[in-house]
Amino acid sequence: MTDTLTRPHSPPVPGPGAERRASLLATMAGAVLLIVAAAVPALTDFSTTYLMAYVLIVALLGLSLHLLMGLMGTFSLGQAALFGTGAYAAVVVSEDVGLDGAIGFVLVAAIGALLGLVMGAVTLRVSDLYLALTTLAIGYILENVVRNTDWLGGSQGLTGFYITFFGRSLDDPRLLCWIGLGVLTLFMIMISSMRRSKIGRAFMAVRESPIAARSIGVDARRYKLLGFAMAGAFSAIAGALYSAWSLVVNPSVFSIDLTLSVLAIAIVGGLRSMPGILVVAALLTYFRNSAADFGVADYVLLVYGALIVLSLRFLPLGLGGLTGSRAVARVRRLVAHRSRSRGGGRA
Amino acid sequence: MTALLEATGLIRRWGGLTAVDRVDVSVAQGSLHGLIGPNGAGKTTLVNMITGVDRIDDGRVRFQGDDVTGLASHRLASKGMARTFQTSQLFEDESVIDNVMAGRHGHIRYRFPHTLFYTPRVVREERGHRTEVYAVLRELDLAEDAHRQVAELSYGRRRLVELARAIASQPTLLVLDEPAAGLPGSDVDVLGDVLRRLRDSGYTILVIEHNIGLLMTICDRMTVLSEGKVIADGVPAVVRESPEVIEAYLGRNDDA
Ligand SMILES: Nc1ncnc2c1ncn2[C@@H]1O[C@H](COP(=O)(O)OP(=O)(O)OP(=O)(O)O)[C@@H](O)[C@H]1O
Ligand SMILES: [Mg+2]
Repeated sequence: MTDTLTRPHSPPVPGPGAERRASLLATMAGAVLLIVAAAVPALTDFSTTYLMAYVLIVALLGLSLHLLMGLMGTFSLGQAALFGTGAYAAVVVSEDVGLDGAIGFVLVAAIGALLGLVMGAVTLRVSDLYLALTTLAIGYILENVVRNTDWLGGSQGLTGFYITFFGRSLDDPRLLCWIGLGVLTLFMIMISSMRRSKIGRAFMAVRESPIAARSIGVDARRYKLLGFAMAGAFSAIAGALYSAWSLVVNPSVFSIDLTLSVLAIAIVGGLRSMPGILVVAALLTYFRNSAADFGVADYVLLVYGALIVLSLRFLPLGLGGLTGSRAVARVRRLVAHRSRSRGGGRA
Repeated sequence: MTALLEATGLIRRWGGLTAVDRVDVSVAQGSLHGLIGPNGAGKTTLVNMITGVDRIDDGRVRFQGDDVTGLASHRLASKGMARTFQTSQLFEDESVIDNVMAGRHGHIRYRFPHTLFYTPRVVREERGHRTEVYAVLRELDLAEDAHRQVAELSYGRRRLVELARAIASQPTLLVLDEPAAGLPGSDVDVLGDVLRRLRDSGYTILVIEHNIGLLMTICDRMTVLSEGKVIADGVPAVVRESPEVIEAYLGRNDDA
């Protein structure tokens, strides 16, 4: 019998030094990419810039799912509820309260965080499917409330508003792109910093084993609320940028259509991978935008659905899961497991 | 010696079955206390009640002199109880160091806003906790696997990681549910040494075990459960001679 407690001879694994080098490299690559991305709006035409702004908005939503589903392990269908609230809140804050976006967006984020908290609190006692359905229901409720509120334009929605940032109108897609890039970078820094701290480990614990999380003193409910509040703030900011981008806000911002496309992006891109989500946000937005050219405009959601199913079946960690040593280790493990079960032995 | 943990009259019912039936257990400060009994005796249920994982139908639990009956498990954890589980509850996809760092949760002082920008305070504190965690890993001969993914490790070493995570929280009371289950014989002895060493360095440990031989050699005191009731309690030498224990253990063919 082998002595399993004592360490077997095995190849060395990358230590903290390698990790630090890798993260330094990633930071530098990120900085270069950011500079390139920031140059794009200045160098290209209006329609490309306009599309890019949309990609950034969708990517922000993808980040909120990265946080909720990828890091915290909570399957939520409430993205549109938070996004839509942010979209309407931005218009109200700008038109009725008269705040400039530089301050107004902070208020919008706070409103989104509050709604996220409510969503988290309502779903604290339920899990999995019920949680997903409850978050979905919150979107439906909000959509119908808005539809029946004249002050918010009813089913026609709101138009003719304009949102400024430091006094400059956001109807300029270049400005929108730069703000979107700034916000995206900020959120990515926040998420990756948080992930390496005790908060990230608490999320990990709640995701992997709630019972173990509590046994090490992690109040699972508190962290769930925190995750929902953050996701709420991120999604609401995405909604605010959306209203500036589209210049029309109507009840369709609460639609399941949006929730599903973001879900597709996050799952295909990789729930645990921010770069994966960014790349797939760009690819799928491009696909959706040119679906008419390919003659598949009617099948966009079908394609999204198929991508979700295929990804869950063959790439549970999405495209982002294809990179990184952990993913490689996981594949190696999977292969080892397969060959073991084929050999008829029991684990 | 004073009692660090004192449970009195604990009862837990599952439908018609009384899994834990008016059980008293008292764990002395600084002792290595064994909890033993045949399959289904109620050991896990008892420990789950003590650590707040399971509901208490009746009875009291006192910990460090405070009444902690019915407190949530994360509250008990922050009061100094740490535990491992019969079926391991590790964060499988994560590295050993992250798993064990998670055990430091209650000792980390920086707050959420600091983490958003990884302030120098976070860097400093994380570094300190990492040093502590490495000391624990070295103690359990896990240091070289620190950056390996838990799922890659052998079964026995995964059990050690779970033990390391519990120790990393520097608990006042360490509760272990069958840490030796499924380990080959030679490893059981290694584990026995580890437990004794922990006790000698000041930990109070309550350990569930099937393997009566192991407990007899390492425990200061033991409690024997059978069908939800305490049938013997005392130092190993006395427990060994108890007719009820002999009957409970000769009455069945225990393979553990
Ligand atoms: N969740 C549950 N629902 C119903 N019955 C349960 C539950 N958990 C435990 N039991 C029953 O309670 C009794 C005690 O179980 P427990 O797991 O505490 O025993 P144990 O001493 O830990 O056994 P083992 O040595 O097999 O781990 C058993 O008869 C078991 O079937
Ligand atoms: Mg048990």
